[in-house]
Amino acid sequence: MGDKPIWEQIGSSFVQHYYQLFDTDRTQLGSIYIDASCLTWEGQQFQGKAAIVEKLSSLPFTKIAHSITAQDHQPTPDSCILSMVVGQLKADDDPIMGFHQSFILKNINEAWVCTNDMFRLALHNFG
Amino acid sequence: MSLTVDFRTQVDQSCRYSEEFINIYYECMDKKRRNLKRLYLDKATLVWNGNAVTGQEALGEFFESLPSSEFQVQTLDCQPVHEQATQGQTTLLVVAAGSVKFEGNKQRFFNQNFLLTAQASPNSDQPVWKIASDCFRFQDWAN
Repeated sequence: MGDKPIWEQIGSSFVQHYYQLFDTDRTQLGSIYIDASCLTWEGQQFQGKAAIVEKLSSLPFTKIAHSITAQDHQPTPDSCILSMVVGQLKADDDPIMGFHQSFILKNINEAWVCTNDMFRLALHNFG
Repeated sequence: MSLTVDFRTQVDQSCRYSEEFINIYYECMDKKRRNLKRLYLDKATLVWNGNAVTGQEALGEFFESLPSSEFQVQTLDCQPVHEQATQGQTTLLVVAAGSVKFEGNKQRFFNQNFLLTAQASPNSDQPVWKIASDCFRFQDWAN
């Protein structure tokens, strides 16, 4: 791990933490957002920790498991980290679906938080 | 309500800018590849399926090395990046997804995200958007 750039170490640690939390108890995800955070979930916009947690908590499934296919992390000119995740998920008894998610991570008061989050299922039946 | 009124306006404006930019970007990619590097900042970084390319000149060479393409964007999402995260600079996060066919290859699905930053334009009160960071991935998996 030591030979990876610091932004990759931080980004991949964040991603691991995020999906572990999401898969076990997504009501606890509030700790990674701030009141200025934005979430776009399947095209629907939410702003602020409370609105984001409410949305994620109310998603219509009980069980979910994410599997990460690839993740990329880049430093931005202003010391943030831009992270992109591609993978698959399985919710309850639904078929496995692809997804992609993008995050901007910012260090505020010695903690890395998510200021921007965008999620889409990769359904690929665009007809 | 999920968004405040002021923020809703900001999001709507950001989405308009993003849509215009994305139309230009993929048209350039498909038809005017030589001009594509101009849409990037001098020190911009692209991560293409895990491989990093940095700087306008290197980006130009990289794009020229790709086969000709036909991109179709099916979903486009955009958010203004909060000033707390960008030291007051106007920045947008844009995520595009869809399909692409590179010449000699089968059609594949892709995701691409851009961090766009506003540059002052000498000829207009509208900002000129440039790419600071770009990340591209094919979305392939075994079904």
